[in-house]
Amino acid sequence: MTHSAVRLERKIDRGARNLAAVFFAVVGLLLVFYGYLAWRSLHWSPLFFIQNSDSERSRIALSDEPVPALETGSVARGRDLYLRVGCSLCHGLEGKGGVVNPNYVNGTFPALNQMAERLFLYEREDVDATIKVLESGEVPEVEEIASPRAPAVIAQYQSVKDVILNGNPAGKKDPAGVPPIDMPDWKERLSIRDVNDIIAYLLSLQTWDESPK
Amino acid sequence: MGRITKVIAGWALGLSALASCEDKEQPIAFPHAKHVALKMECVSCHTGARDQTHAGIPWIHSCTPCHRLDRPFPKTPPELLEYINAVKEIPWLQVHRAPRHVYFSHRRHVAVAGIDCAECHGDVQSMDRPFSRPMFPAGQAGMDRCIDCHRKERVTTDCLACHR
Ligand code: HEC
Ligand code: HEC
Ligand code: HEC
Ligand code: HEC
Ligand code: HEC
Ligand code: HEC
Repeated sequence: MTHSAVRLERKIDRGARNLAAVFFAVVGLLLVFYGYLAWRSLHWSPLFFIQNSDSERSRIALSDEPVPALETGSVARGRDLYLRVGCSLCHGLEGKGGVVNPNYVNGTFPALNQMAERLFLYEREDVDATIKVLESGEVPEVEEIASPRAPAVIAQYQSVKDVILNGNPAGKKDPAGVPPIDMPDWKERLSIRDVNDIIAYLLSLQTWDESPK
Repeated sequence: MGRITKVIAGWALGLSALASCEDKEQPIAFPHAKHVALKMECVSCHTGARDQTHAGIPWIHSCTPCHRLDRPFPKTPPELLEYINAVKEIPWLQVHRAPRHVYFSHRRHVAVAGIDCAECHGDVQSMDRPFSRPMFPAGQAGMDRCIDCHRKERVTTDCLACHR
């Protein structure tokens, strides 16, 4: 009995050793390859290869740096704030609305891509001029708005700014149902400049029917 | 000497392989389904998915506008309330991670190539539990999946395009 037990042990031993050898050979090969990749990534620009690859599409954009924004200034800053501060959580990407607010009178959070109309700005030039005024980072004055409706434009601007800074409770559809989600106040997280930038961005979302000449 | 290094390296590799198979427990039972059902867009929470390399996992301020201390609705589990109360970031565990030697850019695939999130991440909108393991069918990022699509779309399959 002891005899056969000893034999068995030896057999297992040899098998395990072979297995270990194979295992470490594979691991070693992999390690060498990893090392090679690391070395090459440090010493050899892969661009040479990518440029010579056969694909049409690969040639279009070689670098993956973030593209520099085409416009700088209010609209670009506003676009960034709108996404990163979290307006799009409720009002949707590009202000297009459509996100459900359970038991809210209107069903979905309001869209914000008609801001130009909301401010009584019906011409593209008026919108562009207003965006320029908002660049200052201050509350605009009536005289700065080149529109016959300037006082109304300012009044609307004020009301939009106040909703953003102070929030607004959302009305219930079914009085017995759950309370809908409110417009939060942002006065602790956004400055007047930030709010101006966001409004400038929202103004820029207006779509225009006439084809550009 | 060489053998010992190999043994150690072998163990390290083996352990890391094991670790990557293990299920991860997220700090909060976040249900994608309930949020995507509201028609919230993926990019609203994963704000880098369109214009950056990393999609990013949302910060606490992506939750606070809706989940508030003083509100019975939407329901907020107590562990989430604690983070909101303290305005502390939730220590989410990242489960999808390409190895260090692989370069993958969301911007290139989502914004430039216009590929839908579902193409790679599967049926996220019906998940009512948080991610505990990668949803890529092959387990990890999976080189075969990358290559299959690159062949189909006639994009480069040069090793150095991805391994840089
Ligand atoms: C938690 C969800 C939520 C978030 C996040 C949110 N809003 Fe609102 N917002 C609402 C709701 C709900 C209303 C409608 C309130 C009402 O009925 O008066 C609203 C209304 C508005 C209005 C008035 C729209 C109108 O037609 O009267 C503006 C402007 C606005 N939000 C801007 C913003 C901006 C800018 C941000 C980001 C800084 C933002 N909102 C983030 C929920 C949200
Ligand atoms: C647009 C508003 C909104 C935002 C932003 C939001 N949630 Fe929710 N959340 C909801 C709604 C609505 C529900 C469904 C509540 C229900 O059905 O009772 C919900 C449900 C949940 C639940 C399940 C609660 C339960 O017990 O059923 C968790 C957990 C949760 N959210 C976590 C989060 C986290 C974490 C974030 C930030 C990354 C977040 N939410 C951002 C609106 C939101
Ligand atoms: C072509 C395939 C592909 C597409 C399309 C894609 N992803 Fe990913 N995603 C990946 C890969 C691969 C990783 C691991 C990347 C890494 O570790 O760098 C990842 C990681 C992630 C992560 C976690 C790590 C990080 O990058 O922050 C999130 C969140 C994510 N993706 C969300 C999204 C969303 C949202 C979309 C759609 C807008 C999307 N992904 C589209 C392949 C894809
Ligand atoms: C309310 C905000 C919210 C929305 C909307 C949302 N996610 Fe997420 N997502 C999260 C949070 C929080 C986590 C981290 C918890 C987890 O892993 O489940 C996460 C994790 C992920 C991960 C895993 C990241 C990792 O750790 O590797 C992927 C992939 C992902 N989301 C894809 C999507 C896709 C695709 C959509 C759109 C269908 C989407 N998400 C919509 C909040 C959101
Ligand atoms: C569903 C299809 C699909 C999948 C899956 C996919 N890709 Fe791609 N990938 C593309 C397309 C399409 C492009 C070309 C984008 C363009 O037009 O620039 C691309 C481009 C790239 C590029 C830039 C190539 C160059 O020429 O510089 C890299 C790097 C890349 N992908 C890596 C990956 C990695 C790594 C994975 C796997 C984790 C992966 N891709 C998975 C479709 C895919
Ligand atoms: C389209 C992108 C892409 C291309 C092209 C590509 N790889 Fe990969 N490779 C990956 C990804 C992603 C992984 C990580 C897979 C994982 O972790 O599941 C990987 C992993 C590897 C690994 C490690 C395997 C492992 O199990 O960890 C090796 C070795 C490798 N690749 C070699 C190559 C070689 C050789 C080529 C050229 C013929 C090549 N790759 C081309 C994306 C690519």
